[in-house]
Amino acid sequence: MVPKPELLQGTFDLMVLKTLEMLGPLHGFGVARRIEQLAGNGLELNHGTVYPALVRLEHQGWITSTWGASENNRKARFYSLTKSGKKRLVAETANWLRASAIMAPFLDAQ
Amino acid sequence: MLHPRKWTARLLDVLKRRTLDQELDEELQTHIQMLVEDYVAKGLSAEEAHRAARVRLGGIEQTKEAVRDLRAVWFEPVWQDLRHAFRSLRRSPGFTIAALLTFALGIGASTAIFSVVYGVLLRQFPYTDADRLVLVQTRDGATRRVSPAGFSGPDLEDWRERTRTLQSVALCSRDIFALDTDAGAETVRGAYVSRQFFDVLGVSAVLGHLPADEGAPEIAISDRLWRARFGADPKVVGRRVRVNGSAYSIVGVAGPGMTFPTESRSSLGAPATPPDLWAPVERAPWFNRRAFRVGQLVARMAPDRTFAQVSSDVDAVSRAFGRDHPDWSEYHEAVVVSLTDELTGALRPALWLLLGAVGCVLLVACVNVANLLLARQTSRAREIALRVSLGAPRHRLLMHALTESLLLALVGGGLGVVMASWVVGALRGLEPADLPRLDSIRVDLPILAFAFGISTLSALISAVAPAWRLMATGRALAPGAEGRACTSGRNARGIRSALVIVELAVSLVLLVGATLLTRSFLRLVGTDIGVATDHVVTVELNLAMGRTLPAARQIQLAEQLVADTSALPGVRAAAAANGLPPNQSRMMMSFNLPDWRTGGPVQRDIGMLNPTPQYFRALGIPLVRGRLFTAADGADAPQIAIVNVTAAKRLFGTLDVVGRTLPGSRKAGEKFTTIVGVVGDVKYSGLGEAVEETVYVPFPQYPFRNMVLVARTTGDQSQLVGALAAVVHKVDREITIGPVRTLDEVVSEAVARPKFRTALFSTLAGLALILAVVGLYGVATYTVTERTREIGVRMALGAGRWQVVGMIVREGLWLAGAGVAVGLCGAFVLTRTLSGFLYGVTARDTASFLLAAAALVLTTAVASYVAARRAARVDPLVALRAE
Repeated sequence: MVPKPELLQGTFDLMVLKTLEMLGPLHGFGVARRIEQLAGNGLELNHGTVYPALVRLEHQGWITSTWGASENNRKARFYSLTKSGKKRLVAETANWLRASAIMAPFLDAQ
Repeated sequence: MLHPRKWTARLLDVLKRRTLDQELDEELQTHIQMLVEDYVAKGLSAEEAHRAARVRLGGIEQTKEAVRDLRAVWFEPVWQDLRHAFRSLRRSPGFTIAALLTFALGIGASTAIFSVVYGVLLRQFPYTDADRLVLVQTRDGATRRVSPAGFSGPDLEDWRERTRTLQSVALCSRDIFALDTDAGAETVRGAYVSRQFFDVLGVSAVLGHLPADEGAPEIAISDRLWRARFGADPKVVGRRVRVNGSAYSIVGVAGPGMTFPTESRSSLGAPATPPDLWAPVERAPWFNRRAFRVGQLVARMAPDRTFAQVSSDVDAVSRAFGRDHPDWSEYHEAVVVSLTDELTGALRPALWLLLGAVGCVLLVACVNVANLLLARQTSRAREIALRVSLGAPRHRLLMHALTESLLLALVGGGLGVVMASWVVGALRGLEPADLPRLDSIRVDLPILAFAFGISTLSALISAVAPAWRLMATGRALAPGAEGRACTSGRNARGIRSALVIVELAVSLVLLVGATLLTRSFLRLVGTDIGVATDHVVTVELNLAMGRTLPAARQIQLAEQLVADTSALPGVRAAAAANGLPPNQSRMMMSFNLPDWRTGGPVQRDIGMLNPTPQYFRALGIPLVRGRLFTAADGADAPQIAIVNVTAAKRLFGTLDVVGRTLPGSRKAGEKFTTIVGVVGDVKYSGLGEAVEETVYVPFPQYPFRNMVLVARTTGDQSQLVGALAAVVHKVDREITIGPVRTLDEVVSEAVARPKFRTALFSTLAGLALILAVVGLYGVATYTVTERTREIGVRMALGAGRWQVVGMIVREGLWLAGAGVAVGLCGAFVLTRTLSGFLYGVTARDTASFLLAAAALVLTTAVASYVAARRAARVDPLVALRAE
């Protein structure tokens, strides 16, 4: 399942937010890796797509970033969730679950 | 949904772009390294790990591009265009300066003239709802002349009661006052106004309050007087002064825009000044006398009434009032006119004309810049071709052309606005009395908005031709198009020539107009007034300002003044009268004389003067029949008169009228006035008008306290100017003296307005001509450069230098000819708008058209020749080798 950017931009953003919520401040590589792991089933993510998403989310004020040191003492930019980002995540999650609750039986119907 | 805070942060990001780019680069490098570590840990070799890492990241450049796209704000391409345009303009300073100057001239001139038009015609008056204000004036039944007088104090009450469409009515009358303060006495031109006056107008004072109590001795002064006489002292309110000998206190200062009531020109044609003082008319000596009809009514229309309704109401009241007061209706009928029309209406046609003319200049300027842009485009053909072949979309090319044009127009326009504000400042400093509402002529926000608007418009107009060519070029160069690019050659030259023809045509139209106006002005100035205007000095006097003077004393003073003036060295003749050509506003004599042809009774209203005997000699008016006045024609002598040639012919049909009589006489007991002489015609009603009938009566038989003292001198006029004032003072200190001027000055003031108008229009025409000829020169020069090779070939094949020059000049003349042809058609149609301003010259005057066309052809010939000389200097060998 390779997410196509145009279709799932909103859902991809949601993935990034969730990842940051679960795992705390992460750099770009970490976010990409975790998404791959969490999505499971051999999701081949184009790592480059993470960065536009991060910039987008930062523009909206849902995440913020600072420079820091990675595990191997490399200079890296770490992203973390803001308070409004957290609220957004909660709201979007609720929306998603509601939507899927409606869609699932609908799509299953004969 | 973007937070406003984030929005501004994003704008700031634009400025930090380079830094952010670098940071992203570092981030991605780190990302790659981490990926590499991962792959190496999984067992790949270093090289394979690197390759896999890049694949996994999906391309560094693409990621950067994606982020950059996100960061871009909507005006980014525009910003880029601006920076690019700025840089490329800086690289070609010659072109840039030429274009900037052209725009500055066109936009500056337009802005300057628009500020005058806006200030005089369009800006709000300081009165509340000025378009609801009307004036009720009177029109003379016989001469149909409208005058701002005709109502007295008691008339005011009558009219207020009778009219039904006027919400409030007031009376006002201009007058001259003797103002006495601690600093001394001076004459002040002001107005008597009734207590409702300021209320009707809806103005308030700048300092203190405006008098509204008919009982109290209160006056208001103008802003101008306050600054000039009282040094803008804020404590002027409450100051005690004497006006015409009575005690008053100043209760307020009116704002600078308060210029009502206006006055018609004085009997000498001295320019009308706004009132400096408003005094309660209820305290004027003549206020309660029904027969003293010196005022006009100013009124505010009732809220729901139209001007037409008010007009018919006033007509009805005029008829009814006339029936009740036959002495009024004998000479008057009421006519209502809107206040704004009265104050500025006379100038409206001239101002719109000037605005139209300057619009033409702007058009020529825009076309000039368009030509410059085209030339530049052609020389950058390669660059454009490159951009097109690299895939630049056409709309970006257009934006680029437009941005350059816009940048030039806005910067040039800015320069133009600076120039315009200097011009406007200078104009205000001159204080031309003929221009009303001088205080509202200034360069402020509405004017700046106008300047910005026309700058943008100019940019658009200038960009049309280059943009069109750009599209054509783009189409020709687009991948898949066949044939060579047409970036130069015949097509470009064709457009540029067409533009030059347009420029020349427009300037010809303006030139024809200027020629017509100039010839008309020269005719006006050269008109024979009927007097010899050289070496005559005049001064306006009032014998009885602020005091009563019996007739005998007036006569005595007049004779004394004349005698003392005659005694001055160099004076050949001195006299006094109540008026002077060419702009006298005269007394009229009315009588009933049967028509000499039909015998039917005719009511006559003839202008009347009351000169002392030497008047005719002083002014050089020739005697045609009979005799002039002598000292014997005194107050007790039989009533006599002298008529002018026109009067003799119109009243009696012959010049031999000596001994004939006119009905009526001022003397009690006498029924007739005998004609003793006929003199030559003199223009008393303005240079542009026909001569009217005039009757002269001896001063002692008709004394008047306002008079003009004239003296003809053989010697230096300036000496006499100084001596005259001293003479008057010596005779009687209380005589108020107006400005001393030579008759030549008086005449030139009479033509001040047409002179200014003609000068301005001609300047604009000259400006347009210069711009157009410069445009032609540019095209001719460019042609020479372009066709260097062709010229080289011709010369190598045997053509002489002069033949080459001749070729260029011929082409220039061809352009001029086409421009003249188109321009003449345009002028033929458009000069009709000038007919109101022309005197002695028709709007289709052939000589003027030919003259203007000749001037244009001559200047273009010279310009072509100068450009062609460069062609003559072409070295055929160099030219043939040139690429």
